Amino acid sequence: LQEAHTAGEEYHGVVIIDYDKSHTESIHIAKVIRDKYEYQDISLIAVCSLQEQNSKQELAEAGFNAQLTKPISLEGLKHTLSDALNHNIGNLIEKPAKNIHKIVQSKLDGSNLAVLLVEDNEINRRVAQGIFAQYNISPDIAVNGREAVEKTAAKKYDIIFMDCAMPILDGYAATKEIRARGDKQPIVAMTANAMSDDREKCLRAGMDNYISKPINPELIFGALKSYCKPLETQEPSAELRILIAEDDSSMLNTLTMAIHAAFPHANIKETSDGIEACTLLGSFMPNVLLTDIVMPNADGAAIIRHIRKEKRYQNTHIIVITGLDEKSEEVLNIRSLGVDTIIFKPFSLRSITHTIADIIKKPSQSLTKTDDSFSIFEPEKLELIFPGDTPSQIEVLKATLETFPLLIATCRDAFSSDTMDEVYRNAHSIKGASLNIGALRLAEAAKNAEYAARDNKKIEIETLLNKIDEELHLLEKEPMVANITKESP
Amino acid sequence: MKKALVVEDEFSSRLIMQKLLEEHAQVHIAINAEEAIEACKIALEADDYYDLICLDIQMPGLNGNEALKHLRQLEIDAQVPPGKEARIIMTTAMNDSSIIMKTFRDQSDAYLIKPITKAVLEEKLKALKLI
Repeated sequence: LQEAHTAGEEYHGVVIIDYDKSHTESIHIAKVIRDKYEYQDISLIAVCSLQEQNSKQELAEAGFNAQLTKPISLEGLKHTLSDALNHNIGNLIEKPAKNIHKIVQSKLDGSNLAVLLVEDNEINRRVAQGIFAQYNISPDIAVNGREAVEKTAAKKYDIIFMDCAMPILDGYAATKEIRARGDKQPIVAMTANAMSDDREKCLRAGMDNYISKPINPELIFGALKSYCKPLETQEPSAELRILIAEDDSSMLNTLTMAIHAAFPHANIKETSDGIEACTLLGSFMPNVLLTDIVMPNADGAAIIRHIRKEKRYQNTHIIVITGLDEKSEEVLNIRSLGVDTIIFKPFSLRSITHTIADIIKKPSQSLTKTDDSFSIFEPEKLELIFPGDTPSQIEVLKATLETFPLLIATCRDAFSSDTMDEVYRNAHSIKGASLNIGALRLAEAAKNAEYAARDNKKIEIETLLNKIDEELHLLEKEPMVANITKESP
Repeated sequence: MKKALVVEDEFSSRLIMQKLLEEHAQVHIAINAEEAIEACKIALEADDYYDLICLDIQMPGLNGNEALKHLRQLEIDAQVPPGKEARIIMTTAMNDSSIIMKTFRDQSDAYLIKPITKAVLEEKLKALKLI
């Protein structure tokens, strides 16, 4: 695998590993393969002895796709191999590998490429044109080999896609003529006879490669990528900025390497410190933040809050990785802050790169809402607190409304006497009280005042205190609220 | 009947906790950490300690985490037998996991994010085997 990797080849296939009695060595091998070559199409099969009850979970975590039990029957081997090769691995957790190119291919911009399509069949031509259009390529057309020879003489093409069987002059003969002239541009054969002797025929004629019909976007993409070098810099992933925050240095290293391998053009920055992550955000403006929850100085929650608070990060996607339990309170908390996705350890590196690839196609899940998206009053919140208990709901609503004037007055006094701690505490109380009764816009204003006080932003506080007054006024005008305050004895 | 102590400086949240807990316990109220410590001292001396303490994290004076440490020390000093300690639920609107984890290190049992609803509170009480 190392040799293939060094030679720049991708290894597609199956690796069968003896799952020995101590297990550790086999697990180690599997993990090394997964970590180093995780973006490649490799299926791992563990060969286990019958006496040992290996949990599928354990095997899956180590990165295996399937298992074989000794003694191995020919039938069992066939089944497992065919499953592994066809990626029909239903019995284990790990999803089949996907070629990472698939994900970027649709975003590839080939508008600068000069492409010649040589094809006599109109339907095939249209299909090909449709595929090229996905890459912003509108190829020149030749309907037989003779036209191809003429067109290539008149214009320099970056790549030529050549049908083999054509009237007047076939693809092989046309290629020979083009090569005889000394033209060296890449020619990719499109052939329905994907036999090896046909391939030989193509290569002997001077073609560079061949793809089999029916052609599909993946095949075209592969050819474009192989033969049109300038294309690589046009990939949108050049725009991809990924910030990785993780305090475990070996994990950080592994993540960075895997992401770099999957997105060679991405700009990646790494940090093991929460505060540094926050400062990097501003200068780096990542499209994707990959963050751990537990970190020194500022934890993941603090970083995420920071991002979700500021409009300029509204396009930043957040992926959280964590060793914490899915149902733990920290995780629920993180979820409530608005993240794109949470990935739980142990995870495959492939799942990380695939998640990134998926996520950058979507708009960010930012929960940063504008004022208007919050309600002035949502009575459902009180119904949640006291389901079916209207008297309690009314009692709490009334009592809470009565506390606002004093809280706001105290807040203002504190602001006048420049005691920010007091402003902070009272704004916090106003926030808590208004959240209780579902006064969400008031809560938002109070929350902003709370943050402004904490950060000692005095100019903002003044405005926000007025905003709080305004929102309270609006709240009191809500019919249900107005009725309740009127009913007061 | 179980005994519960609600420690909360903000009126609205205090009222809600009180009303929600009244179905399951005899509820005492403290509006800051100092009152809570006092209440616990009295209860321990009377050998009528709390089964549950709901402790707000952010309070003026001693904050919830400092109060938590005091209360656990009181239990040690009073030689409360293992298993008879109060279940302590931290409450917060802060949504800050580092603070929460700190309270876990200081021996809190659970936490709830405000606004607290009947459903989540009761789920927590069940998890703590209080109901």
